[in-house]
Amino acid sequence: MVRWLLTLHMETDGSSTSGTFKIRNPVFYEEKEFIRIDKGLKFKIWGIRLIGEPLYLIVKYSDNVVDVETPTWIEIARIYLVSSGSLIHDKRRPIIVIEGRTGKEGVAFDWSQAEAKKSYVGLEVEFSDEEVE
Amino acid sequence: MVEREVKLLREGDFIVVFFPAFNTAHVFRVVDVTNAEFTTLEYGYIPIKSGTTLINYVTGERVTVPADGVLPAYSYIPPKYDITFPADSPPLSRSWRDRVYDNSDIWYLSENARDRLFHVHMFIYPPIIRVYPAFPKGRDVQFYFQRGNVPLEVYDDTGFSRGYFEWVSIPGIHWGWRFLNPLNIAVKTYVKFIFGEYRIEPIDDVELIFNILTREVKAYWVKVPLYVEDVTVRTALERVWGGVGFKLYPKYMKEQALREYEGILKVLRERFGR
Repeated sequence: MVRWLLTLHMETDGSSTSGTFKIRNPVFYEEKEFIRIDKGLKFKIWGIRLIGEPLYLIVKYSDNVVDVETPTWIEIARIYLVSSGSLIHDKRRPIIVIEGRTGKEGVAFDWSQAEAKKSYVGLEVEFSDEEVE
Repeated sequence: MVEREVKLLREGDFIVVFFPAFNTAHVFRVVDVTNAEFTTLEYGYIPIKSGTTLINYVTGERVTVPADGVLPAYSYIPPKYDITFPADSPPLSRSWRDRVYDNSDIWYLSENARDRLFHVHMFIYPPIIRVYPAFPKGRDVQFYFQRGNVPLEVYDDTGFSRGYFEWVSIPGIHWGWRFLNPLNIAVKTYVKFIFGEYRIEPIDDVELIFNILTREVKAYWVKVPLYVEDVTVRTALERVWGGVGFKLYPKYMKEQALREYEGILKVLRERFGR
């Protein structure tokens, strides 16, 4: 059974009130705006940290990030940092689970702010091929 | 993280190396284990060089490795670039060049090292990377679906593992490895091995060999994923251990098996200088 736990780091650009996060991790050689989920794998978000100025973190899902130039994204979750400071969201079980059924699924993250300021997002995520939650 | 039971053997254990293609197995007793206290080898990145051309399995286009040890998005290693693990630094912290049997492959044992077996658990990071062995190195297709009807590649829906493989290194034969990055992001890779270097000897008792191969006596089985005849492997096994091993017989064919085993064991003893 495979389990890959990693932390995704993202930050707003400080000059736009909305945008799509560039996703970083030390294992990644490059930054990308979405993550594709291989067929048979599950992508789980275990914990969310929002730090800095108020923002909405918008979690998006697409069922075709492979064949098309511009995937169609569907919002599946929205987390709000109401005021300056930090919000840590951890339920000790996966908060969001997305399954790779065709190998074309992907996940991306947007921000939305009333006023463009620097904010930071940390996500504790897991890839796994387990059959049971 | 790949959750597996990592089993290594101890002195006195029996090991069975099973070859499905021949329906045979070699059976040995582990005499001793070199460096049994230190079984981890922190190798370093997958040894792919910057500038190597790989293939994007989604588009079929060629992609270039941007830095040593980095697997580009959706890329896989084609058969002509089968990976072995060289004695170079890096990936190793210190070069083992000209100290190992073959500088291109630290797990290669020379044909003269017939009393040795490496038992290797290979862990690949990130662990979602697909792993496909080639035995021997350079073999086009290792796995099939439905008795050879469907040749399986590392980008198929089956015929691979993720982040892990267990194998035994057989003297005179190179393993090759193909890896596939299923992510849309280039990743920095890492390889860790947990291994045992066993000094082995033949089991001098054909009845015990039969009982091991009929699973009456406990032994550790490692299956070599070779399901169709391969001349390279057959020839190497003949040179190293005198043949492809002991045929697996059912219990009711014990007499025939023992007669046949005597001849095989005689040759094996000679190979071991006994």
